[in-house]
Amino acid sequence: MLKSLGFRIWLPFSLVLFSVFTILIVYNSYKQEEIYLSNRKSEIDKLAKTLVKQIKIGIEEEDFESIKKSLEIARSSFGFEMVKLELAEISINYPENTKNLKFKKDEVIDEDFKFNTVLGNAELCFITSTKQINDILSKNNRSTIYIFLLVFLFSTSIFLWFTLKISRPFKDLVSLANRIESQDYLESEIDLPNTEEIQILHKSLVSLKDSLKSREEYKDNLLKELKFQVEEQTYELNQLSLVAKHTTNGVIITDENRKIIWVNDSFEKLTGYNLNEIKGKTPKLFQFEKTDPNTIAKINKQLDERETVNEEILNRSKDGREYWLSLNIVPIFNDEKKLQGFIAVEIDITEKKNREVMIQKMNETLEQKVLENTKKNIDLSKTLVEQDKLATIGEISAGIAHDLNTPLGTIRVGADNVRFMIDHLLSKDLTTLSAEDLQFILKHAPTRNVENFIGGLQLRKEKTEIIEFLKSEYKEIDETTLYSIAELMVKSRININDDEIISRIFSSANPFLFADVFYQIYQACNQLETIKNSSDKAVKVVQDVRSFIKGEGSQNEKRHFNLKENIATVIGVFRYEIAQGIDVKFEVDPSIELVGFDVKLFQLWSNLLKNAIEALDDQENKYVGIFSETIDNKLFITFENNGPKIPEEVQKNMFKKFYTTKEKKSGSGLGLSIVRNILTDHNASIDVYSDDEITRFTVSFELK
Amino acid sequence: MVFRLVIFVSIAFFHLALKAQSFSNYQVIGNSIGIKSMDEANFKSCMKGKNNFWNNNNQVLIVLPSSSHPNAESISKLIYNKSHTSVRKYWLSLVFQGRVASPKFCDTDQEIIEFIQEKKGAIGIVSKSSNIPDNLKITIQP
Repeated sequence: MLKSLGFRIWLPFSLVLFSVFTILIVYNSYKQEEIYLSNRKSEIDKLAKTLVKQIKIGIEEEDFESIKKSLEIARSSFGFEMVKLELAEISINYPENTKNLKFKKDEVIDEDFKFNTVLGNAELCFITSTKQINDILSKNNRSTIYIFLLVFLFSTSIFLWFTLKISRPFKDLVSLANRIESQDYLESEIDLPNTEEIQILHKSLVSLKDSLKSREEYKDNLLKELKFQVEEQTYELNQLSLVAKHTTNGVIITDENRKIIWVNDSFEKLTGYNLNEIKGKTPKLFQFEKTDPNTIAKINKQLDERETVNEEILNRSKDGREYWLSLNIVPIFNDEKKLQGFIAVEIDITEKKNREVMIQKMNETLEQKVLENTKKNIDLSKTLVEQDKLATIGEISAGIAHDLNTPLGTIRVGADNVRFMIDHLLSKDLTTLSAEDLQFILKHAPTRNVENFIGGLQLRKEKTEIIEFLKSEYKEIDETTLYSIAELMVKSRININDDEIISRIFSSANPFLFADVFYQIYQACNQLETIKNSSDKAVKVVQDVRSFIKGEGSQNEKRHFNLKENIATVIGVFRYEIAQGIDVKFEVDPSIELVGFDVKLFQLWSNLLKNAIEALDDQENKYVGIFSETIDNKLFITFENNGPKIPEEVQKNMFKKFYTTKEKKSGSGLGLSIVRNILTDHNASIDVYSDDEITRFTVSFELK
Repeated sequence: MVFRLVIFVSIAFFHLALKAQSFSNYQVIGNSIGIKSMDEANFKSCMKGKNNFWNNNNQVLIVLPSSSHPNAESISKLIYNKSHTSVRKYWLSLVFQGRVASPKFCDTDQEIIEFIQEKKGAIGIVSKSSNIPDNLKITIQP
C-alpha cells in the first residue's frame, strides 16, 4: 500500500492540503479572535450605552422592571457573565448568583461605563472571563475546523479516488508486466481508460507480452528441440562411437599435424598395425611406390585447404598386402573454427576394384556381343516385318482361295457344260436342219442377252403362256412336242414376242431339234461368257494379291492414285471375310487423288480393315464403315467398327512394335507399328477413338 | 453650649416629627390578598419584598408612592425607615439582581387605589383621608 503509485501520488497532495488547512485553521482562529474581540468591544460599547440610557430612564421613571428586562435581553443576546452596577455606595451585581463569582485576574475582561442618575453617580461594569470568550471562539473555531476537516477529508478522498483511478491502469499494467515477468502469458483482457499514452503503453506491453509469449514458446520449442537433438546426438554419438569402434570400415583420428591419435579395430585388422605401433605417425606409412602420387598430392592439397576428401587410393598393409581404399577424410574444427584434427573413414574396396576390372573386361566382350546381336535383331526385325506381311497374306489367303475357287469352279462347270452341250449337239442328227436354220441359230443364239437365272414361278408362267400361244398358233403339232418345244423356248429365254425366232422354229423341218440346238448354242455361249467373267474375277484377285505383295522397287516411288480405288482394292482382298455377314458402308469421294506410295497405303488400309474385321469376331451385328472427309486442306479417312472398346492401356501401346493382343491368333504385333511407319512416310497422323459403341481410327493427310 | 443645645433641640424635634409619622395617618390597602388584617412587622416585611406570594397564591404586587407623591418620604420612612432615595436604591438593587418583581410606583393615592383595585395580590398604603373602598382596607395591628 505504502509503495503503491496511487498512495505516493496522494500522500504529498494530502500533506500539502493538510498543511494548507492547518495554516488556514490557525490563521482563521487568530483572525476570528481578533474580529470577535473587536466586535465584542464595539457591541459592549453600544450595549452599555443603551443600557446606561435604559437604566437612567428606568431609575428616573422608577421603572425597575424595564431595567431588569433590558438586562435580561442584553445578557441573553450578548452573553456576558456579570454586570456590576456601582451606584452611590452600593454595588449591585446582575444576576444575583454572580455575586460570589471570582475571576482570575488574567481571565477577566472589564468594561466600565460611568454615568449620573437621580440616585447619584453610577458606574456600569460588564465582566466577562476570557474563558468564556475562548469557549465561544473555540466553539466558532470548532465548527470551522469541522468544516475544514470535512473539506479536507472530502478533498483527500476525492483525490484518493482520482489517484486510484489514475494509478489503476498502471497497477494493471504493472500486474501485466509482473505476469510477463513471471512468464504467465495467459490471455486476459485489461479494461484500461481511453488515454492515449496508457493505451500505447498497454499496446506496447501486450505486444511485449505476445512477443515474449511467442519467444517463450519458441524458447520452449527450441529447448525441446535442443533437448531432443542433444539426446539424439548423444544417442548418435554413442552409436557413432560404437560404430566407429566396431564398424567394419577403418577409422583413423589424427591431430592437426595429421599424426595418428586413434584407430579402430577394423583399421588394425585392415593394415595389420596396432595403435601403439602407428600412434604419432602419419598415414604416409601406408603408401608405397604403386600409390598414385597425383592422388596423394590431391589429398594433401584438399587437407591443406581444410576441405573434405573423397578419394580412392591404393595402400599397403604391414604384411605387404596391397589394398584399395575409399577414403573419406573430414577436418574437425572447434567452436573457434580452429582445426583440431581429421577423421578418416577407410573402406576396403579391393574387391570392388577387382570386380570393376572384371566388369570392364566383360563389358568389352558384351559390347561386341551386343553389336552382333543388334545386327541379328535388325535382321530379325526385317524378317518379322516380312513374316507379318506373310502372315497377313496367309490370313487373307483363305479369302483369296475362295475368290479363286469360285470363278475356277464356275469355269470348270462352264467348261463341262460346254463339253456336254457340244457332245449333245454332236449326238444329234443336224442334217434335218437346213443350212439357213443353222445360220439363224448361230446368229441369234449367242446374242441373246437375258438374265441367266429366272425363278421357277416365272419360268412356269412363261411356259404356260408359250404353250397356250403355241396351241393356238400351231394346232397341227402334237401337244407333247409343243410342250417340249415350249420348255426349250423358256430355257432359251424366248418368249411369245420373239416372232421371228418362233416362226423360224416352227417353219423348220424339225422344230424340236431347232429349239434344242438353239437352246444348246445359247447355253454354251452363256457358259463361255460365265467362264470369261470368272476368269476376269480370278485375274482380279491375282492382281490384288500381286499389288499387296508387290516388290520394293515400286514402293520407293510416290505416284498419283485414286483413293477410292486404292481402298476398294483392299476391300476386294477382304471380300471373303466381309461376306461373312459384315455390313460394310464404303463412302469415299471418288474424286480424291493422293500422292504417295500406293502399295504402302494399300498395306495401311489392309491393316486398318483387317483389325476392324477381327474386332468383330464375337459381334452379333457386324459393321465396318469407311468414310472420307475433306476439311480445309486436310483429308480425313475414317475406318470405324462397332467392335468392343479398346482398353486405354492397349490404346497407349498398340502402335509399339511387337505389342499384340492377338497372341492366340499368331499376331506379330507389327500391324499398327507398320501403320505408324507408313503414316510417318506420308507426313500423316492417326487418331484413335474407342468406346463401347464404336471404335474409330481416323487418318489425316495434308492435301497440297 | 448653645450650639450643642440647638443640635439637641433639632434632633429632638426631628425625632418627634418622625414619631408623628405613624400608621394612624395611613391606611394599608390590598386586593385579594387573603387577609384583612396583619401586624406591622408582617406588613413591613411584605413591603420589603420578603414574600413573593400570598397564602391564596396570588403574586405579591407592592405599590409604593413615587418621588412625585407628596407622602413618598413619610411612607418610606414609615415602612422602610429610609429616605425615599434609599428605598429606590433598595428596590433598584433587588430588581437589578432579579430577586423580586419591581414595585409599582404611583404618583398619587388615587393612582395607588386604582392600581390595587385592578390587580389582585396588590398591596399599598395611602393616606386615610383618601377615598378608600372598604373592601381594600387592611387593618394593621401594632
